Amino acid sequence: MSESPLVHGKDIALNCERIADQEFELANAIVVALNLDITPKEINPDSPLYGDKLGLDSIDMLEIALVVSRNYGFQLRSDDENNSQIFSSLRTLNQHIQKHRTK
Amino acid sequence: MVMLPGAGMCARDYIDQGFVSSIQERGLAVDVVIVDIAADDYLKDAFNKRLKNEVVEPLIGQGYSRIWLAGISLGAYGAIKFLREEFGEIEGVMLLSPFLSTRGAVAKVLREGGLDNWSPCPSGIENDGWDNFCWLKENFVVNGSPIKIYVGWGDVDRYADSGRLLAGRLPNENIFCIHGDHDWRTWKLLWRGMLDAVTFPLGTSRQIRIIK
Repeated sequence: MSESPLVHGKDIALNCERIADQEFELANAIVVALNLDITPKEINPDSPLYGDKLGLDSIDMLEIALVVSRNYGFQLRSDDENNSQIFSSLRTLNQHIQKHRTK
Repeated sequence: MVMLPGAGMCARDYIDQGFVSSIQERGLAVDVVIVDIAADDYLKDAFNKRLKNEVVEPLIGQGYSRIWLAGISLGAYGAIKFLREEFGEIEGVMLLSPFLSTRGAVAKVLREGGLDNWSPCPSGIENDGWDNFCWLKENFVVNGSPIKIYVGWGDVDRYADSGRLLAGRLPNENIFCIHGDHDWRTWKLLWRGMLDAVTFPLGTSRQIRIIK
């Protein structure tokens, strides 16, 4: 018997909701840690974390790494050759965190 | 003088930016050791053990009895982290644009009235660098600390609040605040001011070493 498309669609919706919750939690942690004058919802998950839009730089990224270490139990390396991809947006950072988190 | 670089810096920067020559120009009998350390290593549990085993204890073994730490930004974080456990071996610290924890955590402590009035969250839920703050609250006291502590920062530095937080516990002569940002221009001016304020013996700076 094939899987019901309705159930499958519900699963996708739940998964999207879970990812949105994770991204909001991460956005909130970033806003609090960096003491930013914006709300977590103002961070577009697909917008670049670096540069003009959000205006974060390499020192900010270090603070984010500290928060990730404490909240998610693993260390982001400043010399990771994939950092430009990992930190390219809230979404990519969250994907990396969910893959490596230990808590 | 054991110098600890900040994030994104290398040991050589302290030489290229004139930190060592400033000591020599003043005729201070201060030998310099610069620790070449990656930013991530300051955050590791093993940092204190490494600094002690690979830098401080060998210096003591060579006959040095007066050891100071100097750090910029994350290097200052490393200096404070070392003091937390290795209190007795350090005579003084010079902290430039100190990074204590995230800016959010520092802002929270300041909102609650600074180190005097802030209380750590007993549940540990908001454990965002509180280890540093708890130690500072208990040990970083005016006239009560055996360690000489000098703090400097630029007024528009993103970590200016960290400087202000520490300054609340220090006598005015140990506080250096100038117009400046989180950059070498500001740190060089602060460094020279601090060197003029600290009473180091006069003589010759004989050694400059970089330890990797």
